[in-house]
Amino acid sequence: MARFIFLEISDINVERFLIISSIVFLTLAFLFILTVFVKRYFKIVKARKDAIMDRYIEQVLFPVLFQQQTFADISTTNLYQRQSTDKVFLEALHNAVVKMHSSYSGSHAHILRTFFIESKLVDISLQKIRKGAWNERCRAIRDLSQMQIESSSDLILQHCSSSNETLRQEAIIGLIRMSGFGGLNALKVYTYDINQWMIINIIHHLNLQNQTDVPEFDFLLQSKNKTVILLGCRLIEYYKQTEQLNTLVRLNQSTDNIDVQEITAEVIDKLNSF
Amino acid sequence: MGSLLIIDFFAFNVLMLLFAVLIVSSYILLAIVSVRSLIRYLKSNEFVDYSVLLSTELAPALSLIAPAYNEGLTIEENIQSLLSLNYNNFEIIVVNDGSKDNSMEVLIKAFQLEIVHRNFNNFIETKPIRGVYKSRNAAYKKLIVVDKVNGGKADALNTGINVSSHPYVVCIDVDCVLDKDTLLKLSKPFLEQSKKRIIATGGVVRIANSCIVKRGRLMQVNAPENLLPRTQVIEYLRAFLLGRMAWSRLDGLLLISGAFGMFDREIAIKAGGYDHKTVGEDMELVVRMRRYMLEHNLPYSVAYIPDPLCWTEAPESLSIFRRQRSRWTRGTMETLWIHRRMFLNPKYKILGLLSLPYWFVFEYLAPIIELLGLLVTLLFIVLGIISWKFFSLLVLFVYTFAVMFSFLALLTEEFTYHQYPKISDFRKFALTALIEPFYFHPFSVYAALRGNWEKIKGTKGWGDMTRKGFTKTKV
Repeated sequence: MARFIFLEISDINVERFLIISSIVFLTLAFLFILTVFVKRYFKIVKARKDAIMDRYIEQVLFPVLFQQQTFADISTTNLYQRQSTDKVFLEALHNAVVKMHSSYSGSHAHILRTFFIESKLVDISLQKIRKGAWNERCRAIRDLSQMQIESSSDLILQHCSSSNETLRQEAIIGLIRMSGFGGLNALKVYTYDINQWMIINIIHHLNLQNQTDVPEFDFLLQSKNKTVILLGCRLIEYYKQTEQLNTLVRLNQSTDNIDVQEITAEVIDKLNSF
Repeated sequence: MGSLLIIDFFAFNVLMLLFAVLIVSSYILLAIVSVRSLIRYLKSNEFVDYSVLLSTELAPALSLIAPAYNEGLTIEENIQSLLSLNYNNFEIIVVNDGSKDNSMEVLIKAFQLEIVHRNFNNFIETKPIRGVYKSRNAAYKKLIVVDKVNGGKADALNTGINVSSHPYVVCIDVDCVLDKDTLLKLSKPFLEQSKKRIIATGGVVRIANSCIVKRGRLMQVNAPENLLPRTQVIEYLRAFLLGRMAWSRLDGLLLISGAFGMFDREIAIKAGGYDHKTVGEDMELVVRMRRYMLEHNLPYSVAYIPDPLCWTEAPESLSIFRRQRSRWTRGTMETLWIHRRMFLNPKYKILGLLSLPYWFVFEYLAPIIELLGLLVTLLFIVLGIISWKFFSLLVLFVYTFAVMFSFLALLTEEFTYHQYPKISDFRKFALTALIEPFYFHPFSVYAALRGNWEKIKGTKGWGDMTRKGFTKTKV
């Protein structure tokens, strides 16, 4: 056996292995360092391009926001005609419009939304939500729901059943961002688990909507999904829906799920203390 | 006799080569898994808004436990920094572990403390408590100071766990600089648990030497000026970015750094808390908590956050560094010995079949094997039977791999957290990686061997760990 090993691992084979491995490691080491320098170089180049792009974007959006110009007016300018074929410019403009929309409200937000649709920047997001990688889809959902593009609701809804957890969560939040409490309807048939992190996010985004007509959340208690029931309980607690006390008591008595029993008991206690 | 020696010579060459190939392969595999997990984490994290936790009562209630021993010079600033962390539902328990300096006086004066009566159970046996203090000032209502008889870090942490009134405990070193969102990030995995109970979350520890710290906050990240901590930066990058992330993905993480980690208090208590008899109490607790869950057939997981959340000062002198590494070796030996039953035991799943054997061979045995290799090589030189060609090629193989792996860690850092934007810093790290195998690695091996020797001799305790202190801005 020992003889066999020595024959197999002959001097020449071992030497060849060590030399080739060392060359591979050395090459990789060189490539890694080179990649860092190349990345840093491109970062500098990108920063320069971004600065130029920011100037262009400002020249495009400033008249729209503050000089009552429409997309039709902008599209005839030399700058826009020159840049509109540049994908990088369109992507940057798209991102800038979405970002500005989140900072503005009222008429300025409406102007930006109209510009987003008329300039077909919306198509960039729609293309991503249809064909992009999962993280691009998440970003598209965020952008479309932020811009209140109602025609994208169905596309977003489809992602509520995605196998990717982040995408699924982003879709639910997107629907809430778009339709407020109406977004919760997607959960009627939701089969995946909703964890505590998600519950906190849902409540947070519902809160951001500032809607006054709070619906009764007992429809969530009808779900066959235990975690949707838990969400319903938390929402009842958060919105202090004392009128749901009887429903909760009934649920507490009828369920054999320990988690549901515990949370309903906790919420009943809290509602009674209000 | 001569032919026997030749066969032994061949066998030795083969063994050395096999060990080198095995260790290199395992590092490469772990790095691949790590990088993939890291990319996945960063992509998902792009859509996470941690601030949602600031406005909810559903954020997990947690106790930050900071043991302090002779920290009088910096303790006030450190606690001010902890008090300003972004989180609402938490208390800070500073455990003064019988400091011989003026730590208690500083605390009482700075935070207007007074003795209070606090009910708590002595779930874990600890040294006696002299008093529990709270502030008269409402601005410090989150602060609890426990003054106790000296019993070591593990004992102080156990006291904090006993005194805590919250379901989760975050154990930290009081002199660490924490990112302001640390608690938000550590809590998230506990909120995401569904079928598996998250029993602990750990994170990346980074080295803060030469970084600028102002009022307990990291203001500017710099590469350490001193070569030794600079080398440790590369070492930490390799360990945290290319190693632990993979172990977390495989659900076989054994170690959550003692500098900071978050634990499910109930499980920590049921497992018996920190073991004050070992100097590797951080690793030992994680292993024991995992063992407890496995022995009770409870589904669980240990989470890991790759974000740079905790910055600590690394040893700048060889003697302190040597003591630190010797202690780590003793801690590893003690943990492996305490939990020897788990070794290669299928009942303990990946922990018993992979994590512990890996730790034993590549963390504990590796320095011993290296020493043996060195001694046998010396013997062959003396006997005149060494193959210089094979020896040189093996050294080249190991050296090129070590450099390549360090560069990969730097590349990963560049593409992920990019904490060292200055090109001069990057150059320093690259040069350090080139010389590291010649001085840092041999010294680490020596320190580990000293750890073995100290264990055999029966040395206990931590030894002196004098810190220089962070670079501060002029205020």
